[in-house]
Amino acid sequence: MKKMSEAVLKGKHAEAKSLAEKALAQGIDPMDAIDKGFVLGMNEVGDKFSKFEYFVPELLLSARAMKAGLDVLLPKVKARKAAAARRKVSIGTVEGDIHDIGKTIVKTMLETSGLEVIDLGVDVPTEKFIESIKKEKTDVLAMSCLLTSTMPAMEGVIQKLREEGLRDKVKIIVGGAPITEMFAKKIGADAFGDNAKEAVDVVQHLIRGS
Amino acid sequence: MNGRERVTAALNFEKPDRVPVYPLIHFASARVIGMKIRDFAMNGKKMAKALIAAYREYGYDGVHPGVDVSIEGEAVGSKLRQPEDATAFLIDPVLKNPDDLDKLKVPDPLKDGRMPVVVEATKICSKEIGREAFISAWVMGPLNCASQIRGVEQLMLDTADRPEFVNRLLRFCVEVITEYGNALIDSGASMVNMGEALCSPNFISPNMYKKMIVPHQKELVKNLMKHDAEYTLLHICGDIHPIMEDTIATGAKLIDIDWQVDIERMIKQIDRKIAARGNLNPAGNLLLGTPEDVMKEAEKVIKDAKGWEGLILGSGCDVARDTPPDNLKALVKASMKYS
Repeated sequence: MKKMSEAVLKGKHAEAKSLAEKALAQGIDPMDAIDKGFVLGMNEVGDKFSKFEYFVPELLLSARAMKAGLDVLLPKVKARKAAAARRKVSIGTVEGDIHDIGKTIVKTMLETSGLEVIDLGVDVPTEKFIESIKKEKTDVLAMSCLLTSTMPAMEGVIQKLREEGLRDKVKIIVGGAPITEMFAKKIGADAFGDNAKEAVDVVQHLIRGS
Repeated sequence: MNGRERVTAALNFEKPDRVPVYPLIHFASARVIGMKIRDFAMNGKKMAKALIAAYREYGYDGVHPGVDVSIEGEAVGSKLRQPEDATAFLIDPVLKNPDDLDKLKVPDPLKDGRMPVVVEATKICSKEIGREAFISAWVMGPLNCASQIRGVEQLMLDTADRPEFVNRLLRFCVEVITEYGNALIDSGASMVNMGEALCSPNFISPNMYKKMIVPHQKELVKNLMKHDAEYTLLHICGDIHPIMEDTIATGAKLIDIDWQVDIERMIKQIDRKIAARGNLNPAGNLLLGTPEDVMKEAEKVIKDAKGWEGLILGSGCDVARDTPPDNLKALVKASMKYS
């Protein structure tokens, strides 16, 4: 387990894959391998990132290693009864904006914190956000952007949710480089995440409160 | 003093008559004449028209032709999407196979992509207002340029997977940007501005910046100065205190400082080795506050500098499209009141 955690921490994706395969061959429960191995590594990565010890390249390497391990293990996880009970987050970068590294980091950390994340991608039109919330009955909507010119799109989505009578059915968190607490309040979001670690803490808090 | 003289004085640490005002505004200029960003971004005459109109309307001290971060990438062969009223963005980077690097060609700034647009805009601005206003023009720095050729995420993985390739790509980018920058200098730009947002400590480690990127930025600055650029500006967003000394090593004469930078601490780090432009939060009061809020924020910047001659009042990063006109005017008012 420690080696799996380390493979994620060091961003070694080939090793993560082979360790995951070995774990299965040894009869280790895949969920255990994920929770007690890879996830611990990713948590440490998130921690280092928030302390400015790890930066974006390191994060992407770790996320790639994590994915390599999960690709082997997740298909083998049988009774995903946890899945039904898992709360859902729809995440996406707003329309007109294609920046997704921050979103990818938040998504990975939300997943390792035990949530199911529906990634809508980038340049996501308002209707697509709304559809996802309706279809998946998501608990939290997370919107990201990097450009000041696409910030208004966040307000547009919240507006549309109000118009459709869905606003109180979902908690909304916004984030991204130009986003401030002031802006989040102004557009009627429930919360704001200043960085990935904070975003995860805030989302967990929003879910517990609902 | 006129704007040109004012900015030049600050760059040389010769005390200007008041703090120069030079916000980072390009596509947001289009708003002044009701132009859509797509038109601004694709036509040199329109770009110049908007830049000059905004300059006259707001009364600041300089303009800078440019618009998005993908001009070099596009000219080399990457595909962009240009929305009607927002900046263009990369949708398909050209360099999918690292082995194809040698097949890429250095673009001709007078022919390829939208390089000719910015070149023409620079020429027109220089001709019409160059005597009274400071003219600088935008290029991308080597790392940003590389990201628009290879894709940001892929490039970040490359720094670990194939660092030699990254080095060669950066070298190619220096060639591309040198050609482009030289054309902008020939068109009348006194300063070439290098956009390098990816060098921020919010993105890559200060160690990676210093070892992997600075040598190429140094080379680029050297090339541009050899072609008679008067000055170069280095633009790196975020809290750049961890790399402040490294930015000086590039040879640039001006750095953009984002709102996170502490001015007093910065001056201790750089003394008079490099001038600094900033450092309001373009997505804070400037975009969402009142003119009074902006003046208060600008007052703090000016007061914190305690008369340091290298200060140019700026917006930290790009002025947002929807920034209220009165907020931009407030910057000039603040300089007049608090200098």
